[in-house]
Amino acid sequence: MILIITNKQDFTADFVIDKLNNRNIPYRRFNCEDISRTSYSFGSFNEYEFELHKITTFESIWFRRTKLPDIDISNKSEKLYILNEYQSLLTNLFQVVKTKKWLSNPGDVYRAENKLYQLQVAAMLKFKIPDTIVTNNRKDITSFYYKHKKNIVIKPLFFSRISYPGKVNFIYTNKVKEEHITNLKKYELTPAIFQEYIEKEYELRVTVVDGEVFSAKVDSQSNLITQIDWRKERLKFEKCTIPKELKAKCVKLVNDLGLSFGAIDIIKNKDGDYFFLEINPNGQWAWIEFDTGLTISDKIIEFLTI
Amino acid sequence: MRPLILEYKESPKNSIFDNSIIEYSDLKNLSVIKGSGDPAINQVLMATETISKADDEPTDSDNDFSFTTRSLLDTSTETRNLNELSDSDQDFYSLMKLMATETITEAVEPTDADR
Repeated sequence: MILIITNKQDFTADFVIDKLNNRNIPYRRFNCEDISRTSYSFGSFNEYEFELHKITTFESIWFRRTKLPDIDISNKSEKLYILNEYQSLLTNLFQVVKTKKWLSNPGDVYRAENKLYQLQVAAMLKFKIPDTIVTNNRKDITSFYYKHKKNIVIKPLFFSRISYPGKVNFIYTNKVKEEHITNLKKYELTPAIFQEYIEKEYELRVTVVDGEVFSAKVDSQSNLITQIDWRKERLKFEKCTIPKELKAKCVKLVNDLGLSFGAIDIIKNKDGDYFFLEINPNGQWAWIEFDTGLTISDKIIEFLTI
Repeated sequence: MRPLILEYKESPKNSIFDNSIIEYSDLKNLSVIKGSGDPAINQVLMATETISKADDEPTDSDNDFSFTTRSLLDTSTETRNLNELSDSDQDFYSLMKLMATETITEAVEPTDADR
């Protein structure tokens, strides 16, 4: 039996589940926000094995997303306490649930989501990486800016989303403005990644599933809005090939991070060199399959069923 | 002092997805179109296949059909365009918004939605 750990808003999971339904492949979808009304038990009565949906051993588990339940408690402190307890239950569940294989193990996923750690591992694998600095030292940022001829970008260390009541804002990758460097002393240097800006030919998203590589590229330079960050508009991706050596490095990176899946963002510069930007251990991919016909979902199903 | 990174925040071009046309089906274990019960994700796929066919045709960018279907896929299309679409297109449009939400989440790809 396959277990899919996710939430109800995960449409990428829907995409795979629709195929599982059509192929009559048995599975259980566990929406984490429904944990309070999902059958679970653990204890001496079943030799300390976690039972979810009345099942103690799953052939494979696809770990996608988590979400805490909606708790109807008006006291905020008590609500937070209960939510923390549910969070702990999920963490424990991920640790003790029995399976032959994960796509990917949550512990490895959470560790690999740290961007500085990713850069460290990518550097060990000799990926080309844009010159990078993460610091709260104003002099170092200023030097870095002029070292790269006023051509550096700033991007979040982890979160790109700011939620306000009734609206959201995003922080994408942006070129640092000279006025901000000139007036740097007026700003607080909170955590952020600064990198040299690489002039791009195009950008790639390389999706690796159990050692198989699916490469897609996007012409982000054809649109002024997407030249710095392709996520600002909906651009069409197309299938592409990448050098064998790069392919091997992508597979090694995913393996070294302990993952079975990874969505890697890469830049190809105008000299034909490839630069590693980041890896998303649980990145989205359905839109790439829509655009390119790359059979990522089939590979995921193959991994989960064989 | 104001954090430097906040100087680079921006509003999304995409309007927030109106999820009123879909509901979660405990029977199918996925989101479906209200009324029809069809998997919501299939509608997106159908729209995309239409686009692909249009893309394969040796027509220029002024081709009305191609233009219309492209606009359905264009997640940056503004609300005014949404109002000009027919009901069924609006469904498609909303579903593409759903995918846009997914795209937006690429900016927020961490696994844990509550962190």
